[in-house]
Amino acid sequence: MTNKQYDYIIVGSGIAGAILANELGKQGKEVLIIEAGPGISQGRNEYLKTYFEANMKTPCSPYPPLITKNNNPDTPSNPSRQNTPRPTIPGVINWSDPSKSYLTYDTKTSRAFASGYERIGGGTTWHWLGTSLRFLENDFTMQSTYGVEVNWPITYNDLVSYYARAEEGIGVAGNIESQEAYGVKFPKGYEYPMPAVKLSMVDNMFSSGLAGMPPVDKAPVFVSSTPQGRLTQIRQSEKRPQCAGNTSCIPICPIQAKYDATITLKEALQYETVEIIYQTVVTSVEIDQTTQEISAVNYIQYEEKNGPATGSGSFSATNYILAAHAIEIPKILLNSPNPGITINSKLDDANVEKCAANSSGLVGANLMDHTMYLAWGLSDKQVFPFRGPLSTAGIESMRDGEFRKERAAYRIEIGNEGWNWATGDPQNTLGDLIFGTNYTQMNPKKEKFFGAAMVDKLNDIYTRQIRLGFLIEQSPCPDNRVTLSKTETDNLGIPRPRIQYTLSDYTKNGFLSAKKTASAIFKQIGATEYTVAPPSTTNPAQNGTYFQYKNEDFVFYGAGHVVGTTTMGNDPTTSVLNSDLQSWNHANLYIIGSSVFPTITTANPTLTIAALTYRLADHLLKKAKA
Amino acid sequence: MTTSIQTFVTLSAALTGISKNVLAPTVTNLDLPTTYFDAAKQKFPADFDLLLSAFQALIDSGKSAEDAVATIMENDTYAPVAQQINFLWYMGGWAVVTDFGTQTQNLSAITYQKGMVWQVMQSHPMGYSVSRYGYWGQEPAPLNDYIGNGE
Repeated sequence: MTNKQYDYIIVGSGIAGAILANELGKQGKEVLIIEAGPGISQGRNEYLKTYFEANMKTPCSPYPPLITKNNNPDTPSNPSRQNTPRPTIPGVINWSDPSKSYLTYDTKTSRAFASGYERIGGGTTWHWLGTSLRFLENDFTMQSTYGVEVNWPITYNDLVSYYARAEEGIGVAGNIESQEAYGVKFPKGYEYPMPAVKLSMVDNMFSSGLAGMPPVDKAPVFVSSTPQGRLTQIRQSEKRPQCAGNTSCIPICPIQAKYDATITLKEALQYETVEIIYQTVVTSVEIDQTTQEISAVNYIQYEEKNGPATGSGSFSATNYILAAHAIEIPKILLNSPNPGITINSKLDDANVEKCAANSSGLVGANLMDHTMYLAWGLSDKQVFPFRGPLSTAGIESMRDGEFRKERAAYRIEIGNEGWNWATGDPQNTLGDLIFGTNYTQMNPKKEKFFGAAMVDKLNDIYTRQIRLGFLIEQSPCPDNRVTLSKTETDNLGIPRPRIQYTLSDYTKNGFLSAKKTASAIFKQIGATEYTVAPPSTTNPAQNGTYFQYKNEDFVFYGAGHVVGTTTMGNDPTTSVLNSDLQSWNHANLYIIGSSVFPTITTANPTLTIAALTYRLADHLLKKAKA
Repeated sequence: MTTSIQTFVTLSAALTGISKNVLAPTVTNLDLPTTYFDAAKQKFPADFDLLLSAFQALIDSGKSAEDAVATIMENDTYAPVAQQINFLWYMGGWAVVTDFGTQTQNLSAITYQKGMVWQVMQSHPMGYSVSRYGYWGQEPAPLNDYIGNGE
């Protein structure tokens, strides 16, 4: 295998790597996928068991390497002893301690980066929610339309046919009218591959309760069903079941009714010319100093999870595609010295690292996430949450408008999981009632309940719990960036990420608006709001994600949308890639994934990652023919 | 079922407010009462036996299970053990009460799934539903279908 010259090497087997390999394999191309984590052969049952057993049921909890030692939330695993560490919730809580947090920081200047991802076959789609919204036309033209952020080098129209292919590939269930109602444009006669997912009782309560509500903060407020990658019908081509509403899409769909990239990966691996190698961590790319072309990728292998390195070497191909997500990709590039590169940056040239793809100095820069504002309350009627997919509808009508000149826009996800995210329920309300505490505010008199009285109270509370999650767009900022730690490494000796991360005033203005909107919505529907920001300002777990702005206290949450760090653009001095996702510096190096997004926009990124991947596949195949 | 496990189930039903035939169904290959009895005995080697004897004595004196539990919950020695047993039935694990909420130490994957907390909300454990597509758009069955009718 080592001496073979491939047409394409793809680093990463998440949704981008899997789709790309599948499209290239269809055309008979020789492809090698290199995956840092374990394969997809055992997978689901083992992961599901780990999830059931986990005392801390966070997005990364089912997957290897385990996020805590001895299943104890107070003892996070040590990332310096892991071969494929990644950011996790225990890491966010313990963000200042590099023996507990994979990401390292200068805690005096930075906030915590609140999102994580997976490093396993199939990537982070194992724990994605399934939300498959398209971006809006104005999301691509923020600078020219509103004079803020930057434009994308492509427009909505450039992506529209690829959105359709992505929706077909994922198998998106959706309703065109609900999307057109707030401004998404579809070609005439277009239909989603499957009918929309049935709305929950929670959704229907919001939908009817908000009817006729006047605009808030200059934006209309109404509910739209969410297009999502879960089966509402059996698809002829697949053996997967219909969604059965297990209410655990994050972290794991027990029956694979939710699309994940292992489906496409398995399809790709049926082509004779597509190979995959697991437990192989790419450390760097080799650059031919005469041609500035990539000549190889270097790797380290391991056999035992968290065991020692068992081999190292390099693989070569004609073209290289990094699809390893927005923190691992810059890690690889920053770890690839490139003395022959000509720096042409808007930053101070002296500070620019001479490494792969970095003539702009922007490798690692513009790290973004949807910083989230959570709001929660009790409905005035029973709506029976903790049932169905975690979210089936949202308020999309506030994603775009003139207000974007002043403040970040957002979409609002309607949760079907009660206060599971907001307060860690059901265990915290239960704990409060049994032990006479009042963490959730459900037991202000601190009484101790048991028996029939407790049943009545629990039933009354749980069946009325509602939660809104505001996905607030974070503006691109070159100072928010991934660099390499000079002191911290993983178990294979690879430098770990060092993160600088803050929220701009533009984004914080979005939080002020979100708070106002949440309260207006709860009032409109007759609910009692219980949002506290934070549950306590003194909660050490929220030390890294707490901020104060205009005399208001906030905690932000991560959306798991790791974006930026190798952005595409039209100007080589202000972007890392051109509009074909090709490095400005290395003709045979491409990058795909949410790291290429110039802005985060107001929708979940996965559908757009998939659309961009189909577009890249077309480009690569066209280039191969020429 | 031994006498002490019967006492434990009677106590548990009054503590949790969930019917005995839901806590200890006769047709099952899973014996949760024994699992929880053994776990409680191990966690509270001295106080658990005392709690059961005290509860049985109250029953023997003619009190109803509900009244007996109310008396137990007034007692500083027994109440903390009884609270933990209550939490165990609901969450499938022991509680760790902190200043910032309650953590659960699960006994196993199975006990997580069998937690009564999912019954009392008329739902299913997150990650394990036996309902079919679209059920979430309709009201669930009445509460008593989940927690029993006191039998």
